[in-house]
Amino acid sequence: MRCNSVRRKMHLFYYRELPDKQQEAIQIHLRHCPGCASEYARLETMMHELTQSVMEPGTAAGEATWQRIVTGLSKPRPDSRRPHLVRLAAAVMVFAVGLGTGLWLSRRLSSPTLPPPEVAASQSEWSQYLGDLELLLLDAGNSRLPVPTAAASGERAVSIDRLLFQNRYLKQDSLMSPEAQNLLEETALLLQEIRNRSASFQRDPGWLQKIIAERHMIERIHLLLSQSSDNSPLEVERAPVI
Amino acid sequence: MVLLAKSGDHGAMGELYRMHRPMVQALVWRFTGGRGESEDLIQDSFLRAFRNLASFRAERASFRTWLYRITSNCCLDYVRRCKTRRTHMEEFYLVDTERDSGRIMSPETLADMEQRRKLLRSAVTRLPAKQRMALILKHFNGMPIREISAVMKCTEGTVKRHLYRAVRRLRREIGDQLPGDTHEV
Repeated sequence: MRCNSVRRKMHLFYYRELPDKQQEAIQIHLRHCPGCASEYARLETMMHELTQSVMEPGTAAGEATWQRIVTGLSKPRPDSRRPHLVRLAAAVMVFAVGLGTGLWLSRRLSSPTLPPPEVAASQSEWSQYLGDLELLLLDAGNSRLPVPTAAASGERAVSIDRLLFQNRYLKQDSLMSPEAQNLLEETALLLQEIRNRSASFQRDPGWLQKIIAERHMIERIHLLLSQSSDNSPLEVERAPVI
Repeated sequence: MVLLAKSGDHGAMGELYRMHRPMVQALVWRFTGGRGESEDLIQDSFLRAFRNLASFRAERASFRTWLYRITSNCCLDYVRRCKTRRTHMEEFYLVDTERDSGRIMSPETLADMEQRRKLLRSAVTRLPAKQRMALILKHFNGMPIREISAVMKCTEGTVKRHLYRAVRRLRREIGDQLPGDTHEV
C-alpha cells in the first residue's frame, strides 16, 4: 500500500471502519513506514485529546423536560408545515409576478404594431425624404456612384446614411398610409443593398436601374410627393402636421 | 413499547423517553456544548418523535436510528437558526481537567495539552455543521458509518467524506503542536 493511500484512510483505520484486508494492510504498512507511523501516532493523540476535551453531559433525569413534553403532546399540534406553505406561496407569487412581467415586456418589445404613440412625422419631413430619395435614385440610375456617408459626400447633401436615418425616423409615424409604409420598407432594403454593393457599383450599375424601373420607384415617389404638395394626407385618417 | 406509544399511550412514551434520553442528551450536549438550548433541543426532538410516531416504520430502521435522525435534524436546524454560530458555540468544548488527574504530568505537559485542547475546541466549533455531526456521531457516539448514513440520510461515501474533511481540518488546525509519540506522555 502506498503512503498516500494509507494517509487518506488513516481515520477510517483508527475507527476500524475498513474491511479486514485493508485494516491488515495498513497495520503492516505502519510497521514498516516510520513516516506514516509517526503520522498515525499524531492522529491517535489528537483523537484522544478530542475525546478528553469535550464535556460530557450530566446524568440529570430530565423529569422536568418530560413534563414539558407531556404538556406539549396534549396541546394541539402546531402546524409545522405552515412556514413551508408560506415560503411556497411566496415563491409561487414571485414566480407569477415575474412571469407576468416577462410576458408583458416580451409582448411590448416584440410587438411591431405598437409604435410610439406620440411620433407623427410632419409633411415637410416626408417631402424632404422623398425628394432626397428621388435625387439619389436618379443619380444612381444615371450611373453616378451613390455616397454612403454625409461626411464623405462633400458638396452633395444626399447620402445613403442620411436617407436611412430619415427612413428609420419616418417608420415611427404611427398614422402613415399603407403605400407610404410599403415604400419605406422597400427603400430601406434598397438603400442597404446600394450601400453593400457600392464597391462594385461602377462595374455593374444596370442592376439598380432595373430595380427602379421594375418597381416604379420614381413614379411612386412622385405620387406620394404630389399627395404631399396637394396637401392631401400621407396618413390614413389624420391630416399631416406641417 | 413503540407500538404502545404509537397508539398514544403516554406511559409507553415515558418509558421510551427514559430509555433513549441519555443517547439524545449526549448528542445534543456534544453538538451544542451543553448550553441552555440543550434541554429545549432534547424536548423538541422527543416532541417531534412522538408526534410523528405514525410515520415510523420498524422495517426501515430501528427506533434508535430514527430518533437519532430526528435529533440530528433538530441540531442542524438549530445551527441554521443560529446566525452567530461561532459566538453561540464559543463554550462548546469545555475542558474537564479532572479526567487527567489520575496521570502524573509535568506543568509544561499540562500547559501544552491545554493549549492543544483549546485549539481543538476552536477548530471543532468552526467545522461545518454536517462534518461536525458526522464527527460527533462517529467519534463520541461510536456509531458505525452505515448507521450514520441512515441518520444523516446520505450515502456511506458522503459520511466518510465528511469525516475525512473534519479530521483533516482538525489536523491542520492543530498543526505541529502534536507530539510525535502516543498520548501516554
